[in-house]
Amino acid sequence: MQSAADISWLDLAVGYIILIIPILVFRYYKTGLIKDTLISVGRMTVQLLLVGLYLEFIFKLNNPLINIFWVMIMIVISSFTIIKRSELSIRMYFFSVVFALSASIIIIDAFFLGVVIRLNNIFDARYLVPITGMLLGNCLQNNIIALNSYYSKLAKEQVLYRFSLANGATRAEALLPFMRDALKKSFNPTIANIAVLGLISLPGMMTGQILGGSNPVVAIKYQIMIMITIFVAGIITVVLTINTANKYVFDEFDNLKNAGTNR
Amino acid sequence: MISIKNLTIRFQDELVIDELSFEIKAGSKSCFTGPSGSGKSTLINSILGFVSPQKGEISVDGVLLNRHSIREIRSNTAYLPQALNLPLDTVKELIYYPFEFKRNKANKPKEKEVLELMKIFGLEENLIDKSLGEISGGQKQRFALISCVLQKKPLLILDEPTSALDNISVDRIISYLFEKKDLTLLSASHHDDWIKHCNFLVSMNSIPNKSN
Repeated sequence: MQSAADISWLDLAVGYIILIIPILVFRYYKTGLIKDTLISVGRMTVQLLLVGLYLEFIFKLNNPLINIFWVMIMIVISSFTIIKRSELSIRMYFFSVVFALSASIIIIDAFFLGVVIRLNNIFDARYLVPITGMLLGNCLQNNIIALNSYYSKLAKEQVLYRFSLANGATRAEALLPFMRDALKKSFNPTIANIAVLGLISLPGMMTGQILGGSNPVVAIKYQIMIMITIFVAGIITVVLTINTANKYVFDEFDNLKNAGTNR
Repeated sequence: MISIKNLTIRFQDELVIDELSFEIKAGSKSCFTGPSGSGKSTLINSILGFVSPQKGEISVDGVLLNRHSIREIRSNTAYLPQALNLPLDTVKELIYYPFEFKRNKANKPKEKEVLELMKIFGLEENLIDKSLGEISGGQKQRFALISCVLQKKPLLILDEPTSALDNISVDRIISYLFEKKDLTLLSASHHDDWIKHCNFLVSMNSIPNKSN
């Protein structure tokens, strides 16, 4: 198998030209998204180039402690992003999100790398870093949607929450409709995506592996496991984040803190 | 049954309830009256632990309302909120929703029991299979009330229970509820007939609040 054809730096620069299409669309419809798009693409470029350099370095070193340290940094950055994007308070939610992401990553990495692939060294940088990155990227998306849905609905629908409590529900029972809704909103797209994989979408990891010279069957096996593990990691993260955060975001009378004037 | 002592509630700079004190005996039918914004719903919310007073004490059945007792107190109440914009779809969901809670499961009513109460409240039998979008605000209010009544709790708390009802419906509900000797009823209302039938009134005026 041949590895993928290299893209020259000049060709890469030419590749950016196609961004003119979304920029023109955003400009025509006056969406105000041009600045965000340019910043995002700029950030992505710098981050990936730095990560490229960094990965080259840590793959060479392949020191378990450095690899774990890098995973911890990824978890902390993901946590900040999740909380910021969900428009929640860093002070109230940071511990819960870090805890949930860490637990989820430890369980799934150990399962995937240790049990399924059976690596001798599950801290091998070539596996640990990209797999964890992929898991975190998806957990991030699931968690943002779930937290947004859960806490904004809870703040908006205080009538239902109070109606439940005042009619004898425990806090967990009163919160059940909100958790149900958050899980549906967050995981419906993931479930739909799993169902059409291979038919409509060819996932990035599989494409990357094939372009990188892997056997397509091997690439597919990895892809199946990746889809299953990102789904499970997402569920663990969402359930753990919300259940942990709920210990801090309610007062002693089970009222949501900062849920308006409470009249 | 309910004892309020020197209750003071303030939202930022606004004093809503000022040094309010009264006692409601078990089995009495009480009503908080007064103009909109006088603090009727706030008083109900404080008895249910949704609003924390700056000062004063609330006791229910001899138990001081605090973080240790709030769950026990709530487990013995049935509550009808003023706004009924609950995200439920059908009449049956509205009636049976509180019976999904462990506390109420044993009291889950049979359909026959629901239909009997519907008849008493002037609701036709076929309405039970409707979606909430197909019935009127008054019908919805009566179904929510049925759900509360069927929980068979000792304390029924109703916030503006007649706001969407015609006088005939109000009379039917009064005849049914006010005959129940063991039931302690705590309500907030503007409705003259309702107020007339209550045997304990708390008149809430704009500040300074006074209790009668």
